[in-house]
Amino acid sequence: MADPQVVLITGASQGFGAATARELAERGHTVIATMRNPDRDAPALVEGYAGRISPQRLDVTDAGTISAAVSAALDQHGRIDALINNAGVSLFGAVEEITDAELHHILDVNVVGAMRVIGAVAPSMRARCSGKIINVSSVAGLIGGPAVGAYCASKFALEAITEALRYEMQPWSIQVVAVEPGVVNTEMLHGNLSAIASVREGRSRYQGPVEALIKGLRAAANRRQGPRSVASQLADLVEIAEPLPLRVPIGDDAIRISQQRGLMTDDEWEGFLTSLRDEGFPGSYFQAVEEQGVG
Amino acid sequence: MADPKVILITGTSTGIGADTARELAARGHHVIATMRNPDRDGPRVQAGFEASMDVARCDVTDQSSIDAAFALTQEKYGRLDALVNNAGYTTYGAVLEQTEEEIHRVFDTNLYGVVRMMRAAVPIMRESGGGKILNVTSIAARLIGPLFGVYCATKTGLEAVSEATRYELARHGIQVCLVAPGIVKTDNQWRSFDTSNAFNDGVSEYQETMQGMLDEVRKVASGRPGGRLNAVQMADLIEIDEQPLPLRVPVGEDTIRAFANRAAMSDDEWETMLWTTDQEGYPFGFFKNERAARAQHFG
Repeated sequence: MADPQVVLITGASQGFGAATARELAERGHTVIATMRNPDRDAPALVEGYAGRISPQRLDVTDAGTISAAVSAALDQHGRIDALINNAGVSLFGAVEEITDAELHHILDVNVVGAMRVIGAVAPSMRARCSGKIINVSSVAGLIGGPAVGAYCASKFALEAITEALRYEMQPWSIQVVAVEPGVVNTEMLHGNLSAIASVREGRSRYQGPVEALIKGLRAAANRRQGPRSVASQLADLVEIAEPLPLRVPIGDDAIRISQQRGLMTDDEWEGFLTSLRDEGFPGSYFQAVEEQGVG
Repeated sequence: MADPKVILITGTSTGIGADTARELAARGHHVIATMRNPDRDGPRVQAGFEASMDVARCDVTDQSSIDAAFALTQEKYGRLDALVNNAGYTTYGAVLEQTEEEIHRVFDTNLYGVVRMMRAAVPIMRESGGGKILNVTSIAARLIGPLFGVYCATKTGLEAVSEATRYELARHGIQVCLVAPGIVKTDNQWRSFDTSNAFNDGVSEYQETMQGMLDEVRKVASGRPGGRLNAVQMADLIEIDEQPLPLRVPVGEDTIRAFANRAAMSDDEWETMLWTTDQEGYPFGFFKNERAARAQHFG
């Protein structure tokens, strides 16, 4: 077994974050599982893992909670070997109808939030000339799609941050990696999916297609696996002693898409994507446009 | 959760096979975990999953043991949803120093064994209206290296057979999919791998180079994760209700990276990289050692 590592993970109340916290704890690592509302969510996560998972309150949009959680982790464990920036939100809606506030919020959580946590953790990693920063991106960080423009923008930005930071951190032997899960059956895709106001209020020009896309994505998620693959891959990346690659797609669909996209020109890719007509993602969107048109 | 499926796996005594059997059982599936020596290894693999996991003897080089394992499956469940051909072993040695017997033995397990298993599985799957066959290949199927060429040959052969059967069995609703692990800290890759008699007897022409390479393999493998990610990926592929599965799924950041790098390079670029790189670790040590001798002939 790999030496026990100290890992701080954000967004650990459910989904990828909770599964990864448990996987790491099962492998004998120490996990600082951060979340916005530990009073509500920590008991279920920690059950059976007392002593190995320490919950901490951390809201990536609130710098005070970040520095408090990171200080507490360093005081208690003396170091953070790996940071997993997992906290994130989704947003469904057509680009032209996204309000400034909606766009600001998703970027604040998915991009600036990750940067804030990195800023708080990096000094201690630099001091030890060691550490891993793993940013949970998405296939949406590699390909764009209709009705998920803001989400894609946040993940594309996270990919860019990851790549820049990777080169910047090299002198201190701090490794920076982005992982790209595909469609995974988690709470994010089944709970209250965050749609923009125009869609929630039923007045979007793209109402039918956006709803079809959300429905298609949920249906696709139902046919796919849970977050165990993401948890195992992240835990492996924490443990691996060799240099890590810049990007790691997770799951057969993400591996396949990243390979296909890399081999295709923009024209070929666009032709492929817009030809999709199925119940999944994003075929359900194009099918709805074809059948219902847009307002 | 996905509906419980009936899955037969070979080579489940240790490593990726054991992890996969336990992962599937933990997800509520019915697993027929086969191995050569169930009396010795069965209880450890089955522990905690006695109700959902059957342990059966099956040596993929022994047709009667294969028949018995499928008879048990047919009798107990009447169907088979997935077959995981995981049994296999790594052998190291210079190609021309491996004896006929050594070569035959590793092909018998890694390639003919898989064909035997597929032959036995297809009739049951066809009756059940389809199924999935996952064949465990290796990063070595696409990254051919010196001093384990025979092993690579078993895996490239397996890839060919898997791709052909994928097309041939589509008419029965059977999907054949290759799963390619990278370097994993399992006994097979870390402690107890097979080496040629020439090397074991200390008479290989590549004795020192090979010793250095094996030391590197052990060192790399000792810093790698165990088989869990592979187990999870295979369990996911068995559960995923999306058609069709990809032909080939590289598992682990090392395999994903290596396959992408190899696919992006011409043969010339690849070979030049191998001979000129100053990278450390397996398999680059071989090329460093041999560089001078090669230069005497090829500049």
